[in-house]
Amino acid sequence: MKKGIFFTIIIVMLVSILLSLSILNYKNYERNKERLSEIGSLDRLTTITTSISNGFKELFEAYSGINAVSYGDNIVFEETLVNSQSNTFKSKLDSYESYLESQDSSISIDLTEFKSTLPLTIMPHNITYKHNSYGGSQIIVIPSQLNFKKYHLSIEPGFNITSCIWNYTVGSLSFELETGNSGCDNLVSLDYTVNNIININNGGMLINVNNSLRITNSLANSDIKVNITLNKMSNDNPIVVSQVDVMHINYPLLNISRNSWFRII
Amino acid sequence: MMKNKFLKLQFGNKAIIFTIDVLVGLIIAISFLTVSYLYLTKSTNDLPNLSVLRTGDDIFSVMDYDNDLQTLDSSHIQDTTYDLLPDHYDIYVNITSSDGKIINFGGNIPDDRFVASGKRYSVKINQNTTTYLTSRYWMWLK
Repeated sequence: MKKGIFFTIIIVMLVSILLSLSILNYKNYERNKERLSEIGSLDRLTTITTSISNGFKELFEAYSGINAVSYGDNIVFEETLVNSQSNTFKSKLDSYESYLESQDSSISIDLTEFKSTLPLTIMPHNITYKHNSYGGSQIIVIPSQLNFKKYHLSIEPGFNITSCIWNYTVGSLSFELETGNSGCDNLVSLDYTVNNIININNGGMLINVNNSLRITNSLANSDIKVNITLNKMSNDNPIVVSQVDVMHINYPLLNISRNSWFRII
Repeated sequence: MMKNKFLKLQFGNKAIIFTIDVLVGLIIAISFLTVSYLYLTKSTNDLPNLSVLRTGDDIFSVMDYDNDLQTLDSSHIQDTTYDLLPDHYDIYVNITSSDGKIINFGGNIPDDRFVASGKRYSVKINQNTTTYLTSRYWMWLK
């Protein structure tokens, strides 16, 4: 009799263990399924944002009139001041925005601020290259802190340099100007906490260096190349992105959304 | 004094009670095993589904970066897709462009298994003309 009870108890225990393990396995499967679904949704969102970002990059390279390159610890922005391609680029951005929004109601593109000053940010240094107005007469470089070594400014002036006056205070920031005019070219160390001014042709072109770099041209269009030599901050190469979030993608059914900038370099 | 028998059987009531006990035990055990079996068989692995989705993304990323999609040449895109597509997958592709071109090819989308779908946008720049493309795909295991 005792054997029977013992046998029954053993069987009940074994079957209960089996049932518990099955339920645990099923619960685990349910959780995995949710995670895989989330990963799949995020993958899908990433693919869409990456492809849109790549489109913006291609439009930027083809139409912005700005050449942005990276080599070693240097980021170089090159454009003509005044940038005559601004209207073409803005219209291409508008048509891309319309196309994307017409294809998917979940996608919202906001280019208002981007088209206004075309702000580009070097990450992780957080140095912004922009304009007072894209298509306007001034280029502005705003570092968040002194985490770079040097500004190297190369100018191919569209005018003859008749005068060039350097008014600067010696400090720790390396600054080099190349204009092709030996009377104007110089390599100095500036004090970036005060206002340093290089005045070309009696205010026709002004270069202000303080906690930002401002190049203002009210003479004939000139090619401006701004080379920023960065401090090494990580093993990864620095990247250049649109400073503002331009893409807003929201998939309520998948319960995911994302705001994103796009990458130039 | 003799005990009363439930039924007047040769071996008394013990046998029938034992039989009922065995039957109840079996029913409970089989129920437990059935439920366990059901839970175990429901727990299929969904990881291959993610792999299907990622394979599709990879194929279209490669074709986008290599500018295959931008050719908008149906036979070229079809050949490239099937070159890149692993043997055990099948695919249906739909590409539309802002200038009205439509490219469709691929197998019939099944309704009896998992089908991964994806989408990407591309830009085609030819001299001063810009065309925008939307590529959609549906992919499944054969």
